[in-house]
Amino acid sequence: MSASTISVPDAASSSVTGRIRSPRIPARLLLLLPAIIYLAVLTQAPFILTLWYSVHKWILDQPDLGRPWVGIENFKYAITQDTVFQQAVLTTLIITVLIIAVSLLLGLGFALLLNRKFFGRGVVRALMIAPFFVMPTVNAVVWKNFFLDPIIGLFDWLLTSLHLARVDFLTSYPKLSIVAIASWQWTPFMMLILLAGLQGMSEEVREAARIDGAAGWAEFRHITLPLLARYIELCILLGTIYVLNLFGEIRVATQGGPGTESTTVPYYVYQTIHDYNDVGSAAALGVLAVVFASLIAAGLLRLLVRTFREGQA
Amino acid sequence: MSVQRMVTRCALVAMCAGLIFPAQALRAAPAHAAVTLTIATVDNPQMLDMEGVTSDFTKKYGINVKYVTLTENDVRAKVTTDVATGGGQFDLATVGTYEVPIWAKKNWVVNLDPYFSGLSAAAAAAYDKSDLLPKVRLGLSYNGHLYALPFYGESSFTMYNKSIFKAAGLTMPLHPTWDQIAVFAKKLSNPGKGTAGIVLRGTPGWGEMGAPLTTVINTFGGSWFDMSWKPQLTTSPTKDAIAFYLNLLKSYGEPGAANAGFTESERAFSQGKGAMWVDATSAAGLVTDASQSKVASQVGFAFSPTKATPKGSHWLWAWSLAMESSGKHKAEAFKFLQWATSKDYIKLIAAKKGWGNVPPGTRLSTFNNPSYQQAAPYWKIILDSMNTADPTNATLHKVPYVGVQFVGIPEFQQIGDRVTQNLSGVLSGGTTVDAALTLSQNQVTRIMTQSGYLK
Amino acid sequence: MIGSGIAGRAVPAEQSEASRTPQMQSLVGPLLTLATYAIAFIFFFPILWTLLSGFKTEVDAGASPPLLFFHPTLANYHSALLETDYFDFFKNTVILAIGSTVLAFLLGVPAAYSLAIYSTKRTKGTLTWVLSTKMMPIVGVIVPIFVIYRNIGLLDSRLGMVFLYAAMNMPLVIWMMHSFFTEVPRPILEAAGVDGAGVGTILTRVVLPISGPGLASTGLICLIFSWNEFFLAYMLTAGNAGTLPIYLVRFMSSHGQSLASMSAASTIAIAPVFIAGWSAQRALVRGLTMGAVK
Repeated sequence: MSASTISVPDAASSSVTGRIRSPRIPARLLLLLPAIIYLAVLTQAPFILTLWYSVHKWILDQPDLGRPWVGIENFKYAITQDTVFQQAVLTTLIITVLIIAVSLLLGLGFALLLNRKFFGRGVVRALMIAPFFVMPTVNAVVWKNFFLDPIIGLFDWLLTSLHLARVDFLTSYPKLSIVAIASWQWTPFMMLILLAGLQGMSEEVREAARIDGAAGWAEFRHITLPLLARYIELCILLGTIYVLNLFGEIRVATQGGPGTESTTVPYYVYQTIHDYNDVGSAAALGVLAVVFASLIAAGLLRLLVRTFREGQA
Repeated sequence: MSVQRMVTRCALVAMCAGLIFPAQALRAAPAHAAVTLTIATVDNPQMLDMEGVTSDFTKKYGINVKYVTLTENDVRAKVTTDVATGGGQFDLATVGTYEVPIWAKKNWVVNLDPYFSGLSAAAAAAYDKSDLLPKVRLGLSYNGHLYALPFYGESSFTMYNKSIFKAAGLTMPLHPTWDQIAVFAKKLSNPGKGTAGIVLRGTPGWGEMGAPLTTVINTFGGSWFDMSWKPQLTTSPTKDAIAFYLNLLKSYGEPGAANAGFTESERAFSQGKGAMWVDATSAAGLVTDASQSKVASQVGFAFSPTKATPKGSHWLWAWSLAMESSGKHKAEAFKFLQWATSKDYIKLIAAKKGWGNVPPGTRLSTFNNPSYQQAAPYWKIILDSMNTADPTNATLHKVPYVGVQFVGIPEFQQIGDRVTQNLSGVLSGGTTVDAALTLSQNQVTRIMTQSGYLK
Repeated sequence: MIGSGIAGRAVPAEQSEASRTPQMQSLVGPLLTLATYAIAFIFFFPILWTLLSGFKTEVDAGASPPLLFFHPTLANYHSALLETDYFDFFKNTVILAIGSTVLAFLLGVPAAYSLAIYSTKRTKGTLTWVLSTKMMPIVGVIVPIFVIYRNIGLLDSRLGMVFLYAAMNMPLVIWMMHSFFTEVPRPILEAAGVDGAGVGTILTRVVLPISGPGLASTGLICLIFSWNEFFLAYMLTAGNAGTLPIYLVRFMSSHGQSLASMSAASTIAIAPVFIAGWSAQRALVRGLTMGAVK
């Protein structure tokens, strides 16, 4: 997948390493295997168990029902009948894409602003990075109570001061509220990566471009953006990994609601195990979540990689 | 470069420290000489008061107590997982009248009768088990054995803002009907001034929106299931009751109703943002407490509204403490149980916080105490409500289950959670009553089929 | 524009650009700076507001319209710090964050080194696999982890949480450190190899010192993610191993109406990460990217 585009040594560099490659293969494996085994045990082994649970009916708080084998019934129900799950897939997709897009665009904008020399740049950068340090639970608490609350929230005060209709954001726009909350947190992350990309860009290339007459938008479009492509890919890759697992914000701010409007796949799995005690269904949903995450990550990245490669060519 | 070297050195030191870091330090602190009880509690004020005076217990018995305070939904999920898997994370769990019979049947909580028979005559007399309200005791028993002790008990009733009623020239009857409530709500609703006609719970959770909603279903003459366990969600009068509740809340309820549970409702009402509030009787102490309520002197009380039948129109609930079977310190846990539900405890809270803040609704002696009656002028409504709420006879037509504001089967937790989740979507405008009920009916039918109630 | 190689055609454009640019730049520069200030302030405002609200009384904190001027009180911070078990949670968080980061480094750094130096055909696949373990939603494995932890007594224990957080951060460590190690100039390694230094010596004496900034920023990111992790802590801890995000959720549920004390609790929960993050922000900016791209 994407791995090929980012930081894997290409053929040239591996031929260099070839010279120092030690004949003592055990040393290589000795260094590598502990981590690989550790990761396998802590992530893959439980997943195999999840697969095992997913073909059983197991209601945690009803041991008298036993744990009978049900085959693919849990999967069948989730895919064909469970409208909540189907909706959650869509919601996850929407929320993830929006969060990545919004934070990427804002992050890019901020990075460009910060990539200039001006008085107090260090302080400004510190302020802009700050949301990245805030734990998701605090983030959601602050937004929910101070900004989005329909009675005492600052947005409410702003709206009523402007004589606009009162809006109950978390009820009327739960998805967008989550997007706003999470984007606030992830923008600095994107900004940090892109800023470093900008600062790593050689001034010579820019000078050359300016002499060629590229300025403003043209310079940005034809010089900056292509050079940033790999950084943008990285933003999207890392962002997707974390945003697909978004949980704290939803748990605190909307609890998946109202109704099931902001219920994402991870949140639905959480509810199924935590609130409904349905281990079998939760396991099946967990398996589907893994499949879903793999598809979304692979698909999205492939698309982006192609776009950027073409743009660069 | 020197900075780099410093950073590197720091990183190396940290890594070396990791090598010799004693694994012991990472593990949970081992039990010291003194026993530490872990208690899962609900985040209501009465429980917080308990935390505040626990040093008294520790001083007396030399037993430490650790509280894990969670929201109502969380405590239920966490404790269920713990007891169902024998996790043994908690010695004592906060449970309600819903869980006790179900869990007792599965031997997840400990039968307290042997512990009581082990008490000395003096200790038994001091505890005075027969002083506990009979309906509450019944709700906490299984097969005639007591499995939990009530920490506080409650029914539900109507609270209203007298100044808003007075300004509108309206009078709240002592026994209102839901039709009257709807008329009042319409008249008193004033979104421009930020006043809701009525405050009701709208947040998902069978113990949140599910509780008041089920009392409305009951009093409309409906029920969750018929005698053959067929879900009634798309059948009148259950369907009508749910539509009534949602429409009332949507039209005249507090802003953000879809996210409002007990806590949010209390905030809205005590900030003067609501004309009426139908909810737990245990809220009375909060809304009349001038230190946290803007309307403390303005609150009037009435019985819970009714419609077709008074049966099941007000709930019966007792937050109680039970010992988990997998708990490790049972003898100490029982000492705590006794202490926290004793007459002395109530006196202790009265001395520290005043009689208006004692945990209500557990002991007849509390209701009969003149100081309590003076501090809680609404005491008679609470006592009457608690005495007339009958979990075994809470619906107009016969049903195969017990419980006023819940259905006493293990599956109800999931059923109630899912249905209320769907219904809160109606409040936000994301879906319609009919669509939410059809979805709910399908989900409940699947759960009941899976569990073998329906063929 | 960019493709216009013929100078003759480009000249008029350049002239017009040149005639505009000085005036515009003299205006645009300060304007952009001002805009940057404003955006930074707005962006930081939620945190500032939380910090301020912690100094308010409950009535002031819930006031609408919001109060900018008020009589500050330390009561909320005082009670959030001293009247709750904040320090228990703080201690847990520190132990989990440092313990898991150290563990992730102990296993991840050698692995990254191995992948960078002894590059084979499988390297790419291994790296992809390592990252794919992070792609897996945690909800996909939470049920077995809960059951296993219960059976082996790791539920609600700090040791158990350290194991999980280490696994959570290890892919990041391997990826970032791998990229740092591939940057290490080959001649240095070869020289060390000729001198007869073993793999361990080369790693600790030669490679790690060069990769200092990378280590620091990787470590910092691991610390932040562990510090803020919510889902696992929420599902797997109760009274013994709870971390600050859990502290906050509990505090919120018991003081839900009290905005001021909630703000104070929030502030003290995030303050340590801020101090660490801000003081190391240069390393963070450099590391986050140098480690992952190039």
